[in-house]
Amino acid sequence: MISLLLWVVPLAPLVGMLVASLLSLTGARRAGHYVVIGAIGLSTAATLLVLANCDSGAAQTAWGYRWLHAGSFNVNISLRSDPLTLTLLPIVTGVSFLVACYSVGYMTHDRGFTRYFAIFAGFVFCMTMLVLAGNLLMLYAFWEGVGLCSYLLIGFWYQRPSAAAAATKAFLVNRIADAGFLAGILLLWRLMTEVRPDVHDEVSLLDFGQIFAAIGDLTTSHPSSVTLVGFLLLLGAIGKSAQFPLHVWLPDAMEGPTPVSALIHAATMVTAGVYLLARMMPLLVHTPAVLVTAASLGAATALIGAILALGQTDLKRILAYSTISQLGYMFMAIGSAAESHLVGPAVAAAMFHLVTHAFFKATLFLSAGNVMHAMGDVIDLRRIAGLRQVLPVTHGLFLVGALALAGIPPLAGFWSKDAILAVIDDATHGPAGTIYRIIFVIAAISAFLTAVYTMRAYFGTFLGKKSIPEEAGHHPHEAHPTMLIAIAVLAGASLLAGGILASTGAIDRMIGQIPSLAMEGSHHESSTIMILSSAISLIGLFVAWISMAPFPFLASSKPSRLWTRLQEIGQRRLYIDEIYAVLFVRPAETLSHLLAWMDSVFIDGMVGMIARVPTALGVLARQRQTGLIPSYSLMMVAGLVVILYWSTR
Amino acid sequence: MTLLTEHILVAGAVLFAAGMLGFLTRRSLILLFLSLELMLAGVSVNLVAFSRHHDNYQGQVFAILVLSVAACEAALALALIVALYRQRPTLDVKSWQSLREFPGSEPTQVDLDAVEMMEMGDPSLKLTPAGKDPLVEPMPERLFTGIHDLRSKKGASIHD
Amino acid sequence: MVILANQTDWLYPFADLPGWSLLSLACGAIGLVVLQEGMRSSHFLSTVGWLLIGFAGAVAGTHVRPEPDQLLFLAFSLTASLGGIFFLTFRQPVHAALGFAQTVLSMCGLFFLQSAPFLAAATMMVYAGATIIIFLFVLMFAQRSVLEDHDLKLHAPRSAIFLITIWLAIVVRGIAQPNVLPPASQPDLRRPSSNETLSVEPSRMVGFGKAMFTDYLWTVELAGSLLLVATIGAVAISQKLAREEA
Repeated sequence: MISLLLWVVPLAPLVGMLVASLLSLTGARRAGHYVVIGAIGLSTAATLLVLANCDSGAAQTAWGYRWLHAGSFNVNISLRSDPLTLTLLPIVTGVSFLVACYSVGYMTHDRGFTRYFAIFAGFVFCMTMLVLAGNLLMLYAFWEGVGLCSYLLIGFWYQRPSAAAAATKAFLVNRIADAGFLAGILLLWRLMTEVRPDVHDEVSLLDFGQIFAAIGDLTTSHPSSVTLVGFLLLLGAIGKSAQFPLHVWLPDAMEGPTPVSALIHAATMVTAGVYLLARMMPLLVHTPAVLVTAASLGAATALIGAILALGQTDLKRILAYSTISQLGYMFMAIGSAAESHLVGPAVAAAMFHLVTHAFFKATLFLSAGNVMHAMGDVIDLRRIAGLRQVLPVTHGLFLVGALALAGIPPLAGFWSKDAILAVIDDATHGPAGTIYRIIFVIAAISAFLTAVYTMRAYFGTFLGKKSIPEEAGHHPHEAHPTMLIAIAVLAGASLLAGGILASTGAIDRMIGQIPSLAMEGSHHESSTIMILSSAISLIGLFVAWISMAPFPFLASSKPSRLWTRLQEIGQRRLYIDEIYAVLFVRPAETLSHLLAWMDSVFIDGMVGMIARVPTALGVLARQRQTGLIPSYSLMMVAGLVVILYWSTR
Repeated sequence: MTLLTEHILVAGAVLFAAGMLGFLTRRSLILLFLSLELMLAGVSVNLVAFSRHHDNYQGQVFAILVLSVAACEAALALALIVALYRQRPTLDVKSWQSLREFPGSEPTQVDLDAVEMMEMGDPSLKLTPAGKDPLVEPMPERLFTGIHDLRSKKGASIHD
Repeated sequence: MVILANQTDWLYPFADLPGWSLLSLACGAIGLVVLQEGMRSSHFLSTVGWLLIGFAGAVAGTHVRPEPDQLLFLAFSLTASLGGIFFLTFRQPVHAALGFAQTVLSMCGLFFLQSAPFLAAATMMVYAGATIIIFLFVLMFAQRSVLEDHDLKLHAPRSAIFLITIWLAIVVRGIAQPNVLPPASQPDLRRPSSNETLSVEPSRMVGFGKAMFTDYLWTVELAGSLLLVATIGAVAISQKLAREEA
C-alpha cells in the first residue's frame, strides 16, 4: 500500500506532463493546466497519506524495475522513503501545488501557457524522484532532470536574449558541479566494488542502504578516497545550491517566470544540494574536512549573498541573493555536523531552515510576482514605491514573508535561524572551534544584513510616496483571488510553521528516527542565542527604516560614501562575474576561436580539398567531352586496347 | 601447307582495323558509316572462317544476320544524314559538336531540392537564434514560395 | 600489384610475336601515316608511303608459302587491304567509297574460298550492290564539287594509327599463339541439330538453307523483322523532319 502510494507521488506529475505536452501540441490552450494541477494535487495527497501512515523511522523501499545490469554493476529503479525524504517531500509537492495554482493566474496571457505547465509537471516529477531516489545513480539522473527543467523554465521566454543567455549560464555552471558529482559517484562505486567484491547478483551497490551499511569498511580501508568522494559530492551540492563560488547562475535565473523563481530557484530545486549532503550524512560524518569546508563555503556564501542583496535595486534580484544567502545558512548548519553528537541537530536545523525558507521565500517571490504583474514588469526599487494602497493584500503577504525572512520573532525564519545559530555555537566547542567561531560571527552579521536588505526591499516597495511607472497602465490592480489565496496559504505557513515545528520538535523527532542521525540527548534551547538573534534582527529592521524612511534630516543629507560604494559593488556583483570572465571564460573563448580557426582552415580545408578532387577530375574529363564522335571513339578504342591486352596476355 | 584459319582471321582483323581507323580519322559523316560497314565486313570474314573451321553453318548464318543488321544500319544512317543535312548543309562531324553538353547548356531536368538547398541553405540546419521568436518568421511558407518561384523561373528558361 | 611485381613480361607485350610480323606492322603503320599526309600535300610523300606499305606487304607475304589456294587467298586479301588503304587515304569521298567497294568484292572472294558461295553472292548484292549505290547516291546529293576542309583533313590520324597498330599487334599475337583454336575438323559438340556439314560437296547450298530455316528459323525471322522496323524508322525519320520543314 505504502509502496503504491510512493509510486503515485512521482508518476502522477509524469502523466500530467505527458498529457500537457500532447495538449500543447494540439493547441488546446486552456486544458493542460487542469491536468497538471490535478496531478500535482494527487501527488500532494499521496505524500500526505504516506506521511500519515509512517510510524517508524525505518526506510521503506518501493521496488520498480531493474534499470541497468552489467556484471557486478547493477542499478535498480526503486523508491526509498525514510524520515529525511518525508521531511522534504511534503514541501516539494505542497509548494509545487500552490505555485501551480498561482501560475494559472500569472501565466494566463502567455502564449506558452500549456508548455509552461508541461515543463512544470516535468519538474515536479523529477524533483519527487530525486527526493525519493533509492540509489545514488538514480538521484544523479533526476538531479540532471531538475537541471533540465530549470534550464527550460529559465529560458521559458526564449525570445529574450537575456533569458536564453541566463538559461545557458545556469546549465553550464551546473555542468561543472555535476561533473564532480558524477566523478564522486563513480569513485564511490569503485570503492564499493572493492569492499564488497563478491556481492550477490541482485544487489545494487549504489543503493543508499548498501552504501550506509558499507561505510565502516569503506572508512577503514580507503579513508582518503572517502574524503575525496565527500569533496566531489560537495562540489555537486554547491553547484545545484548556488553556493560560492558557483553561485553566479542563480541571480540570472530570475529571467524565468516569477512562479518558477519561487518554486525552483527558491523553494525546492536549489535545496537539492542540502538534501544531497543530508542524505549522504552517514558517509560525510567520517570526513570532517568536507563538513568544515561546507560550513566555510556556506558562511562565505551567506555573507556575499547578503552584501550583494543590499546593493541590488531589482526586487527579484534582492530575493535571489537572499536565497543564495539563506542556502549558505543551510550549508553552515550541515557543516556543523563535524562532531558525532551534533550530526542529528545539524541535519535537523538545516532541514528546519529548508522548510521554513521554502514557505517564506515562496511567499516573497509570489508577492513580488504580484507586484510585477501590477506594475507592468517593472520591479526596480528606484521606480516603484508606496504600493501599500494599490496592492493592499500583496502588501500584507509580503510583509509576513519579509518579517519571516528577517528573523523577527515569532515568525518562521526566527526559529530556524535560531536553530542554526545554536548548532554552530555547539560546534565551536569541538576540535575545529576557531573556524566555527568565525563562522558564527559571519552568521550573525549575515542575519543582521538579511534583516536590513529584506526590510529595505519592503519599505522601498510598499511604503513612502506612491510612485507607479508608466508601464503599469492606467489602473494597476490587485492580482486574482486564486493567486492571493495560494500566497496566503504560504504566508500562513511562514507565520505559524516555525513556531509549531520548533515547539513540538517535529523535525527533530523525524530526523532523529534515522539511525545514523539519532539525537543524543535533547536539543538544548539557548535563550542567549534567541535574544541575540532577535536583537540582531530588530536592529537590522531599524537600520533599514532609517536608511529608507523619508526623515527630513536624512533626505537632505547626501547618501554616505559607504552606501554608494555598496550599491556599486552590488550592481557589479562583487566583480565575481568579471573575475570568472578573465579566469575561465576568456581563455575558453580564445581556445574556441583557435579551434574554430583550425576547423575552418584545416578540417574544412581538407573536406573541401576532397570535394575538389572530383571537381578537378571532372574539369579534366570535361575537356575530353568535345561532342566529336571520333575523339569519343578514340578513347573507346584506347580502352578496348587495354582490356584486350589484359584479357589475352 | 594448306590455308590455315589463322590466316583468314588475320585478314579479318586487318579489315576491322581499317574500318576502325576510318571511323577514327575520317570526318565525313557518310564515310564514318562506311567505316562501320567495313568493320562489320571484317567480323563477317571471321565468322565465315570459323564456320569453315568448325565445319558447320553456324558462322555463315551469323554472317547473314550481320549482313541484315548492316543493311538496317545503312538505311537508318542515311535517313539521319539526310535529316541532318536538311538542318545544316554540311557533312562535317565537327559541325555537330554543339549537340554535346557544355557549360551553359545544362540539362533541363534539375533537382529542384538541391538547387533550393544551395540557394537558401539547408533549412534543417537552421535553428532559431536565441532571443528570436521562431513564429515571427514562418520558415516553411517562405521555403514554399521559394520553390514555387524557382519552378516558374526554371520552366520559363526551359522554354526559352 | 603482386602480379605486376612478379611478372615483368607485361613490359614487353609483343616479345612472343615473330620479328617479321612486328616489322611488317610497324612499316605498314608508318607507311599509312606518311601516305595519308602525302595524299594531301605531295606526291613524294605518297610515293614513300606506298613504298613502305609495299615493303610491309612483302615482308608479310614472304612468310606465307605460295601454294595454289594460298595464292588465291593472298591475292584476295591483298586487294581487300589495298581497298582499305584507298578508303582511308583518298580525299575524294567517291573514291574512298569505291575503295570500300573493292574491299567488299575482295571479301566476297575470301567467302568463296571459305566454302560460302551463298554468302559471297549475298554480300556482293547487298553491300557492293545496294549499300554502295545508296551511299554513292547520298554522296552525290550532299557532296559539293569542291573538296571541303572535312574531306581534306583527318581527325588525329597519328594517335589513331598508333592505337590501332597496337590493337592489331595484340590481336595477331592472340591468333598466333598455339592452341588458341581447337584442331580443325574435329567433331564439334556445339553443332546444331540439323547436322549439316560443309564437307558434303554437292549439297552446300542445301545444307545452308536447311540450317537457316530449321535451326535458325527464329533468328532469321527476327532479322527480317529488324529490317522491316528499320525501313519504317528510316521513312519516319525523313517524313517527320519534312513536315517540320513545312
